[in-house]
Amino acid sequence: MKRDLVSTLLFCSFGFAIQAAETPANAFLGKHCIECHDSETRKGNLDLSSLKPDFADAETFTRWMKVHDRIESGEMPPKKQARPPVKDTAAAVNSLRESLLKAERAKLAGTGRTGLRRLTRAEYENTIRDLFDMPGIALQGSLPSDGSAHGFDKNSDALDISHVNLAKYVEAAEHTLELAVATHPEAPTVQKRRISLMNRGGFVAHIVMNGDGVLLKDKQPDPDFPPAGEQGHNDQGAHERIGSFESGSSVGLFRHEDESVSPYFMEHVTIYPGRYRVRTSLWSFQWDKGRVLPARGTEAARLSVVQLTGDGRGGQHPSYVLGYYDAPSLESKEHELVTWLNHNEIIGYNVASLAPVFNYNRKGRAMAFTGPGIACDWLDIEGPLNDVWPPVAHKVLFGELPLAEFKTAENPGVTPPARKKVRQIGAGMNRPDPDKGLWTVRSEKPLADADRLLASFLPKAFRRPVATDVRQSYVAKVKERLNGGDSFEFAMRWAYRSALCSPDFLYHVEPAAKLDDFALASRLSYFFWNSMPDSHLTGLASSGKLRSLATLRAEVELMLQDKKSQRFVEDFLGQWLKLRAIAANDPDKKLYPEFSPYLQDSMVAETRAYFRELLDKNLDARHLVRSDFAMLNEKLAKHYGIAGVVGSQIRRVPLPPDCPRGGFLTQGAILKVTANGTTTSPVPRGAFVMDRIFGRPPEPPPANVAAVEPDVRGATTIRELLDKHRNNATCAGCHAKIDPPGFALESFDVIGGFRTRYRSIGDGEPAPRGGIDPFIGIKFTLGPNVDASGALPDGRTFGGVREFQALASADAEPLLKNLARQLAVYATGREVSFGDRDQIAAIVAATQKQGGGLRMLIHELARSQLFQTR
Amino acid sequence: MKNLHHLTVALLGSILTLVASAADEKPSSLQEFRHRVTGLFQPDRTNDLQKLVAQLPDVKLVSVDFAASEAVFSYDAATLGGGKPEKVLERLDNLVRTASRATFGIKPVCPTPHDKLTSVEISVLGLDCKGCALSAYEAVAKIDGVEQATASFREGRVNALIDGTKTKRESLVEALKKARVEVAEKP
Repeated sequence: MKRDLVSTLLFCSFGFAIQAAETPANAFLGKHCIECHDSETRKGNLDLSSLKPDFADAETFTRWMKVHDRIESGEMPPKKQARPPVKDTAAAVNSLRESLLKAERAKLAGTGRTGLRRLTRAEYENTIRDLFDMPGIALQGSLPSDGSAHGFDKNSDALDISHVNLAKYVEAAEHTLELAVATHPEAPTVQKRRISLMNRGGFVAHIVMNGDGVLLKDKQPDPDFPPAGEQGHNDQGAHERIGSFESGSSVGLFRHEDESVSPYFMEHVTIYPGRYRVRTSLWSFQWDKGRVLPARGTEAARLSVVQLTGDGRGGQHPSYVLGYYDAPSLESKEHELVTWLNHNEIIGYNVASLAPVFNYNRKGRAMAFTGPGIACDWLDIEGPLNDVWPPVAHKVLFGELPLAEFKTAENPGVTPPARKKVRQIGAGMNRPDPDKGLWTVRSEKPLADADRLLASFLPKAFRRPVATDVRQSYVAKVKERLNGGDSFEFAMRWAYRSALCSPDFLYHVEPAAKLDDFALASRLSYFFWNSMPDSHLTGLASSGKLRSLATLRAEVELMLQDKKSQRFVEDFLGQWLKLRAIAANDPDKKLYPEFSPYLQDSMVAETRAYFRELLDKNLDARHLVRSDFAMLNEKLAKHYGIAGVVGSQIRRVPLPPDCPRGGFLTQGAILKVTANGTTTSPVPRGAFVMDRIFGRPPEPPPANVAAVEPDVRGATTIRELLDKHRNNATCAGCHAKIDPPGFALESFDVIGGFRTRYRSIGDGEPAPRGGIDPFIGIKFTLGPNVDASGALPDGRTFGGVREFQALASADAEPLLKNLARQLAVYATGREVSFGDRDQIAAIVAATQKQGGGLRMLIHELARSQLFQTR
Repeated sequence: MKNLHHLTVALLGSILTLVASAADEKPSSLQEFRHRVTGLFQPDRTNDLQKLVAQLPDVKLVSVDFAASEAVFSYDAATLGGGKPEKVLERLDNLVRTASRATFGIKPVCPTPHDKLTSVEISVLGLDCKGCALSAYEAVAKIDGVEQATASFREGRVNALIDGTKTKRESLVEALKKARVEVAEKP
């Protein structure tokens, strides 16, 4: 009692006063908190006696917010202390809450919550792609990286701008205009070419000649090109010259791509950027020392796009994957896709589902080999495909103005438009069209046409109506350039480049309070499409009809159904669940030899497809941690030990009753991004779950605490190493919250495989092969047992991941609330503030009333004041 | 009537004969020339040569003597050489090389009678593949003194006629090994 009185006096004497008079918060803190959180004890590094009520200071505000949260959740006072009366707790919480809200409102008055923010790299690229109908123009990679704040790059705190950004925007705009403007009266000639994988100058011919593949005719060894055996074939050049690889035979490969080998279809090197139709025919087989037999199952080949180096000799990085395609046993299957190819891009290939094997120069080569192969009959490439000419991109800039040949004599004083020379590099057999002279757009009334064209372009580019004086400033730029001797085309390009580098284009223009209809249309489209609104959405904004609840709901539905919404799925998951870091480390080859790029790509596809399924089927938030289905292809199913899935395409698969899979937490991608390639640790995994799934990010570790080093020899488990750490009183408080999810996930290794024993490169028991491909050598052994049991902070225990999933999914509300917060940060470009919590709670409550599904959550978010105000 | 029928038939026959003889009759500028052909390393290359020459304008292949690696061509030397007789063979060689990706070539007939050349046979091991045979052939054919050669991995041998004053068998063996052809002989 005496100590209580002294503490209270001390507390007040240090000037703690939320209000001039004693407040409920004062009284509560003085009675229940100051004993542990005074200047001497400072438990949890918190000294309430010196924590001033200066809510205008951001750091102080954050500390008071934590105090509020700890008391509101019941975490404080600790369970071992006597429980305060409920009404005292409520009064204290309300008192703190009012102070925090008041301070926050004062801070944000008149400014809007979301800071001024520019387009992210992805938004920029998508906006250009949609504005000009150039779906594959590559711009993002040439722009400086965006930052990240509160988990997302869309946050205004992450989006600074410098002279470097500006310089890159100018280059990007110039590149865009270069591609968009038509410089010939007719479309480039459509060239169609059938290419064998054994194309001239390629790697494949070389390795097939030495036994890493074979030529096949009518699904049997080609009699005119025997498989390499005791001898290999000599002199690739001689074979190419005499036409050995032009017989139309299929190319069967055994060898996976590696550091030495990258199969490319070299005979098409893109000259004219645009849409191309790609078709291929694939099948699989079992090779047995010269005989072609039925394959072990359907295999998968990968097509990718690779940019050739400037000298045409090899592929640069990065390339990107077009997709994985089924190769059924002894049955040619044709695949077709239309894709955008940029200048100097070629199609790459890999026998993705095969394990790495080498017959090259081994005794007996292919004639001593028994194993699987994938055959490519051919690859057709046709393009560039243009439905109209000039293309849409040109018409966005120049409307229906005619193209005419520019003759210097007829244009005295006008600088001819500059053109880049078009040429073919490398082994490409497609050829540029003959030079047809210098063609450019012609205008009889340049200033009138400039005004008209800019009146059409600027509102689209700026995503809102444009004032006459703003438009006239761009017309003035055209006039200036015309007077300086530029052609009409180049004078207009000057104005267009300026527009694409202006704040009106680069920034989200949003009024400080309630968004107007155009800003709302933009916010919707950058949420669901990561890009500008289309003409339909803009039309609704113009007519003032967008804001009605029925229209808004219908539009959100349309946008989610549009295939552009896949950009939202990929961009949001890339950041929320950190899928962008999927390739941050390579799994140790000795411990995880079964890892492959195909597995990694399948993992990412799984998580994206799973989120898509939750969205499309409006499934509830419990599915974030637990489900009775997964989205798998054959590769993943085998990795997870699930039978009966055939083929490379992801599809919904019901899970067996005792399967430990289900929900995001047991997906390979999540398990990989939360590991380091060699070992797992409950701490980073647990922290990820707490932060990303439950929205309760743990405090960072104290600065002077060393990391726990795992024992890769397998003598000691990570849990045993961690126990010394967790039993330290200083550390126990945080680790009691962080570690339990991490312990449950110890059932999964660094590449998401289920385990009951740790893998080791030291002493241990021989490891069974399990589902690992028979061609992959196993060097790891089995070490100690995995203990995936644990206890939640509230004392509930679990024996393994399935029990943890059951506990974690019992209450959907925190899961839904966190997801609402994450979506709100992503969609509004700002963190969820203290004052936004009520709105989040209202969104969640409204969602739960309608079944609690994720699609409904998105609808509720879109119609909320949180979303519709800046 | 019958006389008119006979007359018509006779007239038609004469016309047809004239047309036929016109077709057979060579323009006076076309002549036949016998040249050595490189690249005839196995018998089916005769067919390849026929298909190739059929694509060339202004040149006809009259006959091929595989055993001698020679062929008879028909062409107008003045047209082919562009008025320079010394350029005719070079021009013909260029045409053939370009069209065949350098797997065929044209040279003057071997000045040395074949019975004065030395016959060489080398046992080789390799895949029964046209490309490999071309590789083995080219490895030896480019040696100065090798006047003619054939290669067959099906039969397991490379044969050549060499001028013993310019080269010897060992040089051919060495060239084959350098071209990574497995020579199946004891040292």
